[in-house]
Amino acid sequence: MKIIGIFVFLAILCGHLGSTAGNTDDNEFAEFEDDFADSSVPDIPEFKEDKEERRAAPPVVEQKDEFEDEDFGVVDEQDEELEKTKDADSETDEQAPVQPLKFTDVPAHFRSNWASYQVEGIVVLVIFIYLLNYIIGKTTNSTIAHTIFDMCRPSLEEQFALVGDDGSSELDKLEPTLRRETDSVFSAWCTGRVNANSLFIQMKMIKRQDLVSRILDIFDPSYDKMTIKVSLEGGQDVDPMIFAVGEKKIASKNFKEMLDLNSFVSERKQAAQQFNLPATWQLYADQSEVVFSMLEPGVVSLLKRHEEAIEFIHISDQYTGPKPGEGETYTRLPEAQRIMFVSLNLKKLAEDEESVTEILSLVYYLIDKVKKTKLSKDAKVKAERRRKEFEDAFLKQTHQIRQEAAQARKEEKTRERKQKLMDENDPDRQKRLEAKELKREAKAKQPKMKQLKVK
Amino acid sequence: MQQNSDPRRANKIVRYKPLDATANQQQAVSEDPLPEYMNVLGMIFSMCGLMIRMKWCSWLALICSCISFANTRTSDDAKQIVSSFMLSVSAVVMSYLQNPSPIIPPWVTLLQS
Repeated sequence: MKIIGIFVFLAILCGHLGSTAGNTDDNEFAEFEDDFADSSVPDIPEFKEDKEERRAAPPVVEQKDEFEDEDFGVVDEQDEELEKTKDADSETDEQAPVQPLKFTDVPAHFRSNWASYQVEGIVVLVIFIYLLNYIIGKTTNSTIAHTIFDMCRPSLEEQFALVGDDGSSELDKLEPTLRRETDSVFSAWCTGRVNANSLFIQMKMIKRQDLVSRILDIFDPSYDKMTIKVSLEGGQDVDPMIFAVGEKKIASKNFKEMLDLNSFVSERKQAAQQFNLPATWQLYADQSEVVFSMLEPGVVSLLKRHEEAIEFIHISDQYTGPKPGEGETYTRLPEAQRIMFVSLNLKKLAEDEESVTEILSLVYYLIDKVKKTKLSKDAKVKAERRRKEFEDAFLKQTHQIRQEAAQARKEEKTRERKQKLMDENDPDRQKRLEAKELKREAKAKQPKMKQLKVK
Repeated sequence: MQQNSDPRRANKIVRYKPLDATANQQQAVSEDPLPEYMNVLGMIFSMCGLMIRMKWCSWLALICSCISFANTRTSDDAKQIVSSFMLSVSAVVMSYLQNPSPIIPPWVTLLQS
């Protein structure tokens, strides 16, 4: 990518240099321009003399005309015209060498007047500034991301057997690396731990490398974000729970968008007050028992301490991604995942290493906590019943859609068969196929009850 | 909250696998569609620059391909960026080769009137 940028820049630069050189050395028209400047002034008196000559000339021509007329008696109009034009020609022939050249307004050669290329100059300047900003922004983003990853790394390496996997190199030779997804998104994959399949860190920076986004950012400020997505270990011995806590704006947005939050949980205002959570936070859970088992005093104190850095925590056993958009519905429910999402504000987080490790240890603690938590029998039964109800409701709701899909498939099949029949070359075979088709149609038309009557 | 026992399990390693290309692409596009938009815009502008000889269009195409370049994903095809650059640069070159007169800036007419 860099190379392309450099090429473009070089091309523009070469254009500049070549043209300035041409301006001084290769200007072939320079001589003519000088001549023109010299000759244009003294021409004027000559021109006046010409005019006088022209006034004197006409009587001679007229005499000639009269003489010719007398000769032939009758004169055609055409001839007259012809002769007039001839006369005019002869007049101009006489005057041509002395008349000065008239220069039309031809735009000057483009190398000679760079000052008129204002728009082009501005555009090239804009592109240059854009590329400069790209280089600066890119390095800034990557420095921030690498600093934070270096902060997290010791803690991650203590907890995970494999940190910063790229998915391709051999395990022995693997160097913990931060993957660059775009110039503003970085990610790291950690795996090999009890109670968790994987932990995926993704850092989404402001698009510092893009000048347009930066300008838009002035009107709608955003900040660097980091999300930690943990794929939790499933199994029969893990109790179902959906729990979410976080800053009001983000929590309510997620509550509206996420299918699992939207369909299972409700807001727990009382519990939030009881645990003395920050006033700007919201708490959601599918059952109040979950809230009490998750929000232990230690967890609450950590949450409070990092109130500004932590945006949102979402733990779910029914995670199916965001809700399908309006007008769209799932024909089949996507497979539920056990997942924990932690979204962090990097602006507040990046200040000290201690808070990074504390938040990460909170994440590890929650991973183990989800595994260990045992709900009471009633709560567990209730949770399972609700999940079953949800699934049934979903199936009921999508029954019609699935039926329509089945009908469409059936029609498609029939059409294909008919097409095949039409395409068949062998007449015998075609007849046979046609008979088969007719039989099938008759069978389809026959009401199913009739068969019962026959019996 | 510190744990004493080592929680690491080498036998539980799940290797990172990038999602299959099309699904990944779709997801990425839905997350941030800007490079795609810019690519298309750049293409349209280059075409306008080449066909209708609108010089400002070819310059805009060049800017569009710059934006698209700055926002590319590593999973994206580099060829696409290269071709978009080539197209916009050729649009600029062609339009100035044919008619090297400068773009008349809008402020000139404003100053004259």
